[in-house]
Amino acid sequence: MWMAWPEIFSFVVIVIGFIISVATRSAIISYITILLCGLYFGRMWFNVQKTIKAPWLLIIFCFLLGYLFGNFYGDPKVIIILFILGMIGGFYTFHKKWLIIN
Amino acid sequence: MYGPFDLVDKVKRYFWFSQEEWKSILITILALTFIIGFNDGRKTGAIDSFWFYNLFICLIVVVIVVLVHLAGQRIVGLDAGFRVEYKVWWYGIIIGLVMALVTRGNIWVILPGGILIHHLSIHRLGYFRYGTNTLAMAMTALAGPLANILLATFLKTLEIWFNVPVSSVLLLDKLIVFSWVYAIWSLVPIPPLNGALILFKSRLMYAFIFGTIGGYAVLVMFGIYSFIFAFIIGAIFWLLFYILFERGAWSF
Repeated sequence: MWMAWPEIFSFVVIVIGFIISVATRSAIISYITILLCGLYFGRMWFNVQKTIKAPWLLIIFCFLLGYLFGNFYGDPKVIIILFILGMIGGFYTFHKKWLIIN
Repeated sequence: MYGPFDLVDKVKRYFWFSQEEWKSILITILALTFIIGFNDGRKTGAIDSFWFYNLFICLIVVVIVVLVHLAGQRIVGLDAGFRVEYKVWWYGIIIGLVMALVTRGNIWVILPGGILIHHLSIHRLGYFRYGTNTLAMAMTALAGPLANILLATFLKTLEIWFNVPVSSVLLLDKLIVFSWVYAIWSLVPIPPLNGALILFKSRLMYAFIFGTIGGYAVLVMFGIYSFIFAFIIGAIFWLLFYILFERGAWSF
């Protein structure tokens, strides 16, 4: 069963993304939340950059998909942009060693 | 092992935080302040002067609680010949912030970070065992939550035994509550939190400690302040864990 861990985790993060998105209940909170989630996945991407990336890409994509499914307040385009910006910010914060704490 | 003078000397030499640790502490304090201060207890949800006042009170509370926690760990670590280093846990901080936003600050998820232990070669001379070991790590990790509990207990004792109106002062009331919450969350057995270091030492010891501290917190909610009852709850946890899991885990 654990050979298919990316699919299992993808399903889990779809549900988590959906629940978080539904629970936000306001556009501003939704935007801040997705930015923080982007930072989270950016940090994760930094950690897995030297491994096979396809499973992680699937997981990240599924989270975003789940978040968009549950989004009733914010603009989907803004959410996608903020998520990508958050990921880039999260990744480069550690890649460029702006914060050396690992 | 070498007495209080040795400990005082080690504290003078190694207690202070490095620049990297200050960064970690600053990030932790800011994040935790937001998490506990996001909901100011009113139903309006307005961001006005009271919200900022509440946030400022929370900032003071978080600074005290985090520094007491780390100071406890550092002193116990130095006493055993280890230098303790604090590191922020990014995933935990972000999860806490997201949970604070999503639940409007009603649920505090406090997963700030953990400690690393560095062996001070000269100061461990004569110790058995010489190097780092799981017991020393567990005891050092446990010192943080215990320091928080001692602080909260001291304040509550002032109120119960000496009629000092601690709970009516917003700052002190929050200090008691947050000390307990921080102590309990830091005992969650997720690496790199303190609870994981205790769990890796001994599952039964973890069951007893978590049962005692969690049990005391539950008793406090019912207005009962008794460490004796807390130890009894901890012993029940220990026994249940032994009967339901540990005994079976060792029978091949």
